[in-house]
Amino acid sequence: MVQDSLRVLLGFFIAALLQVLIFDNINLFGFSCPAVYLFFIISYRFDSSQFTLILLGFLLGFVIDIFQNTSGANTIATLLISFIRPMVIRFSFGVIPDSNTLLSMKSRMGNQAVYIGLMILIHQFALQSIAYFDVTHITLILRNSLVNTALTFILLLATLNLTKKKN
Amino acid sequence: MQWILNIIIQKRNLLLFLFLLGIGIVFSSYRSSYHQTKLQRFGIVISGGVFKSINNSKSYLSLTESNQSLLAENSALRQELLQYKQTENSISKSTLNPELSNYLVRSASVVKNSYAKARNILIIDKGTSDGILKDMSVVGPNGIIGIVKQTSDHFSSVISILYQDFRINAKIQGKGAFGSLSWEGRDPTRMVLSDVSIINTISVGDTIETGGMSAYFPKGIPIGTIIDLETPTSGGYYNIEVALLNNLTDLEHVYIIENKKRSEFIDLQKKSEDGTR
Repeated sequence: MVQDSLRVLLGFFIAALLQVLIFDNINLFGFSCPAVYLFFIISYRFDSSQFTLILLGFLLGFVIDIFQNTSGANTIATLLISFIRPMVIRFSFGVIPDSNTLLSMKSRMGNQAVYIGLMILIHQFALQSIAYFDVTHITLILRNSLVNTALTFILLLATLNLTKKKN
Repeated sequence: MQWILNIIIQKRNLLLFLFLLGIGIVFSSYRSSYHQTKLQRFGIVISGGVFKSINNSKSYLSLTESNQSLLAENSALRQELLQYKQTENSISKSTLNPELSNYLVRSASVVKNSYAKARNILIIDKGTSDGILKDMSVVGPNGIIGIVKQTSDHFSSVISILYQDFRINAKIQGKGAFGSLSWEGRDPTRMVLSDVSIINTISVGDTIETGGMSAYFPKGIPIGTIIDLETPTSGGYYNIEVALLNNLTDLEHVYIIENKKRSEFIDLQKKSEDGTR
């Protein structure tokens, strides 16, 4: 139990540090920056308390906002995906997933990709919408959301394959 | 009691989410003035709509009083018009105040009024679709009320003169003495006039009016009367307390004044400031 909590805390700090120190410096096409810290939310155990995840999601977004010097968009977007995660899991894997963690999951890659892609897309759309906060900028919001989602998706899928427990 | 606890336990994730979302929104508006402005504008639309319907029902109860005050105002204006016509007949047109045509007056109803905070805001039922723009001046039947701060399509928020940090250029009627009028945040019927030099002769009962040195208010709109005057033992400025002519705690109708030459004034002011740098 204590070991699990420590592992979660360690994951939280690693995700925040990697994002702030490395991935925030990637500036593809002049506007795109991958949100690799989402790996923490996505890979959080499915059977763990959602209450804790909502709190951690809020804190993670808050830390990223502080370091990116942004207006609170990360806080709200990360909080949102932490809250709706059970619905995305049900949509992607059905009522009962075959494993309680993405890292040891045997489900078809397609289901996993839908889960990861949806989580990133919702997060990015919320993030960009809050950042621009103006419906007249809808094309910019959509462009940034789609490009960031694609970039983050590739990086997260690569990270998942690297960290996945081998049988 | 038990069922309330059960609901809280059952819906704890949703409640936590909503609570943290609220914190996130406050955090967002605190960190970004853009988001603050957008959220405030959203707030104007919501509170404007709600308070307008409350106000509509309230106004039926005070129709007699409203009619009386409008009649009084009408008669005062008619009187002024007659005097004006007399002047027009007796002297040439060129001596009439040419500034009058520079201003356009629109009326509005107050849907929300605050006067008990340190920084008070009013909401009126006219917005950009009625030609109301930011920084237009707002006056009441007896004097100035404030300046338009933000506008939505059908509502506008107005910074009341009862707003700390807000200073208005004012002068003493019939005299050349200028000063700066501000509110100290205590009594909504009293303001303080500062920076009036003691070389000017002024007395209790004198009327204070707008000085016209800014692009906001036209010159000569009455503000209040001096009720207390202190000559300091040291320093060269009076301490003046002013009783406002308008009762800002009871406002129903206001007038918005558009200064048609405001942009010209601001451009010139900016150019002069740039030139002196």
